[in-house]
Amino acid sequence: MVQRLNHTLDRALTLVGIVVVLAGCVSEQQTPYPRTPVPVTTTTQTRPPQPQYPQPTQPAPQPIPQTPAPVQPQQPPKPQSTVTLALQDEAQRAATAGDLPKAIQILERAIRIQPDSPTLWIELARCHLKEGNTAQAEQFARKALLFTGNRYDLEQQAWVVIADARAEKQ
Amino acid sequence: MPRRKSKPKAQGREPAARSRTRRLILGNLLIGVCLGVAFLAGYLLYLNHVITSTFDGRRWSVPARVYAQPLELYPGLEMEADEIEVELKRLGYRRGPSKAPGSYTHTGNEVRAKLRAFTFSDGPRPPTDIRVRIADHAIDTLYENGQPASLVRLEPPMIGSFFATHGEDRLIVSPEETPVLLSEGLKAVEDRNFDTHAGFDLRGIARAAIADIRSGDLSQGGSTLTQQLVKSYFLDNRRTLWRKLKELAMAVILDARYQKADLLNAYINEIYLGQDGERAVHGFGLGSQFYFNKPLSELDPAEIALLIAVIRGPSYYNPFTHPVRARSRRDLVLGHMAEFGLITAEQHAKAIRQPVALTRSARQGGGYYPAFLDLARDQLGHEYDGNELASRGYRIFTTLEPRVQDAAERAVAATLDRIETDRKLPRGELEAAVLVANNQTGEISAVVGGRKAGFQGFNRALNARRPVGSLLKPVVYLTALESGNYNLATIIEDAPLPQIEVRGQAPWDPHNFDNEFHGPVPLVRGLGDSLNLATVRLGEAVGVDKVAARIATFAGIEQPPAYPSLLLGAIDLTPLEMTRLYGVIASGGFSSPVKTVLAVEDEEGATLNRYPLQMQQVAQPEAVAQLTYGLTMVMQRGTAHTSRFATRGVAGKTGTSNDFRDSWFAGFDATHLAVVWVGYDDNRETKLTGSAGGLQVWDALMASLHPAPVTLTTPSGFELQLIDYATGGLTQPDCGEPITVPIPYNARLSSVPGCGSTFMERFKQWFSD
Repeated sequence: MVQRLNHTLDRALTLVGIVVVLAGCVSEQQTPYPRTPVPVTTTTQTRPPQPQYPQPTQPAPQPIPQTPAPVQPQQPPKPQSTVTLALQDEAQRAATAGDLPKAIQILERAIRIQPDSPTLWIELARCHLKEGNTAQAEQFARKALLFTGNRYDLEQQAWVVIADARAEKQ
Repeated sequence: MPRRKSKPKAQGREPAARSRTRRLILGNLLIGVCLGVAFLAGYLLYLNHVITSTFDGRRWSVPARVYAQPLELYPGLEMEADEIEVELKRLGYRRGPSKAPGSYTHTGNEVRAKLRAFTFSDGPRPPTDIRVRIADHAIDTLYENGQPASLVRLEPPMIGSFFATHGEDRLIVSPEETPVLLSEGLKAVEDRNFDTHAGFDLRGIARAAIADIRSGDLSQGGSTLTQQLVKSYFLDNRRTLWRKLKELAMAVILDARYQKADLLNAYINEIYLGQDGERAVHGFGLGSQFYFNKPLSELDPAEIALLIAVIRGPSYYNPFTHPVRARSRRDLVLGHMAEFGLITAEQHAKAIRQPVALTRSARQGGGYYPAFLDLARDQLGHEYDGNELASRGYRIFTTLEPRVQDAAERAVAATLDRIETDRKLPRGELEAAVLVANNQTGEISAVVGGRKAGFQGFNRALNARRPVGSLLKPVVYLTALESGNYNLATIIEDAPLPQIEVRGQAPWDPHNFDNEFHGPVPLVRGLGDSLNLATVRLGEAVGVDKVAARIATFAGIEQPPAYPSLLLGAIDLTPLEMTRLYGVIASGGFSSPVKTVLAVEDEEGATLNRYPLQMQQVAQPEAVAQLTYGLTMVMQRGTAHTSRFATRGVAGKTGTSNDFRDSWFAGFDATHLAVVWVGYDDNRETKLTGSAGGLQVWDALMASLHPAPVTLTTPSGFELQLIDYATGGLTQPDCGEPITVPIPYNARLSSVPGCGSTFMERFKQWFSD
């Protein structure tokens, strides 16, 4: 496993050169993401299909399938709810003002509300990276990878944090 | 003494000698007086030191307050209007239209509340009006001060305090938070000349004596508030003259050295107002919470009068046990208040009619959530000593979710009662422990240490070390999946094992629960039906030592010896350790330290410590994703299929130790992981399997939490296939026991005879390989 990770890491590190490193602890809003996979995918996690723009943040009770609904890989992750988007903005303001502990606290609050949002985990990873906590930064980026689904742009962002964390540790 | 004897002799002496003698006597007397004065002054200085250091010290002796997680309200949250009302009541909100914070109304699907101000650890929130509308079992719209809002949080409920071993607990109120009626009422009833006297009050004593003679009882004392304060500091009720004088001296010193306002505020925070189990309720701030479950500033005149009434004898006038006595004294206090013009005649008339309406706070008897607080104390113990926690007035924000905690306690109580009735077991002897954690953060949401959850006692969730049985099997399967040599459809043999001799022990001869052999079965069924022989064979194939190492990593324990019996859970672990272990699975492969405390603040609101999230990836996410599918099959097809949530897409595993001594269940939905143990303290047989005991409690708990299906992910390189649960072959939706699981693209699966796919599909299968 370690070998495989190292392998992936090498590939991720090469990416650093070509990917624009997102400055700041909390990124700007998402840019359009590529349709084709970038070559750094290792763990393409997916989730049951979700309506594209559902209003409620939690699924309403649904008819219960006898077996889990067949899901196919490369599905989009659940869209981020407006609730946690507001908190993400608040965290961004705190981080811009230099109050990283507060930004982390707000992001953790958002994660308690929407624990499967890849963006929130990536933001949390960035804040820890900026605080110099490289070990946890890498772990939170890895956590984000559980939830990125077919959002290869987010997957890439997570790998950039991992690569930066590794680079900074050395 | 001898000098005095010499006096008569001196009278007959010469004038010169006499005057010398007189001078001598005078000189000696002077020395004596000086010595006496010096001694008295020294003693007064000593008293001064004692009383001022006590006074100054006590002003800061405030036990740390512990808060639960605040409830977050947002559109989409699954919640009924009734459940929101429960949360508001937990915070001591009163129902009924009112302009004051701490009130709410509930009509049909709408709840309106006036939220109190609160300083959260990330900033203050002023009083806020909210309106919540429920539609379709979830929050539909949310308004904050008339504007649509995306997120509002209620104040976090206070769940306890770390008071010192002598049991004194208090909730400090500042002069600004003290209602004028309370301070003026106290003076009117207890000490009319408080503002003018010098610490003692002769007129007061005289008046009290006359009143007592008139009424024929001793209802009026002559002690000033200052004297009562001194008396309270030294907790000594002996009524000796010396004590009285000492008290008097100290009262005079206090009065001379401090402002009246400081003394009154100290009194309001000091005075003993009742007993709550091991906890002594001191001060009006806590008294208000204890008797009425709301802040002091929200009390009405009748309630303030009752608290003043209680001072004179907290057990004699205990309103819980002696409501009639307490009421008549309250009415007396109200009479004084009216007499002094503190309340109008109208208010008096209204208050007199009010019954003694007490709201017992959610919990009584020594601690509110003692099992959870145990765990929080463990975590805090690394950085803070007990004295610090008992005296510095810290605020501690924890991860407890009262809603989940209450659901877990109710589930334990109701389920154990039912099991004992149904199975005709002796009543009240079965015990249980429950831990609930957040899947993705690992934060502890609830801890139930035993059947009587509200009482401090043996905390089984943390300390009961019991054999875990089949609850451990998922680690065997995960180790196999991580090796890359297995998937959920891989066939393993459920067949007799060669006898295994372990030195110095009886031969180990495991067999299946039903004493049968099931032959070749897919891995998913070995797990789902909890087949012992298939599991042991699988574990031996991947290496018992490897499995032992995984157990140690996941549960956070030392590596256990790699005996084959370990594969069937022959190891004693606590529910807390099993929660850590299952936390790795529920989180997608991450291990987190046990966490109950989010932040500690000092009295001024400055953060002393924050405990941010921490985690470490310890298992392959691909393997965990497959195992999670497997655990949903335990529910759908396997040993937990009797669960009322079997087909809801939740994941779990049963566990039963040898001879049915321990009944376990661990399971999770989309947000919460819950681990349950049921058994007897003396390790007797319960005759309960994991599904007859632990699962029943888990089901009852989940029923209160609106379980949502776990997020199942298909790892890259895998595709979902319909296979037969019994044989592991490819099948069709209407053939055999079809289940959908992720299978590697390159895996070769044969079709179940008679359930084969069409020729074309088989043809395609050929080429896709």
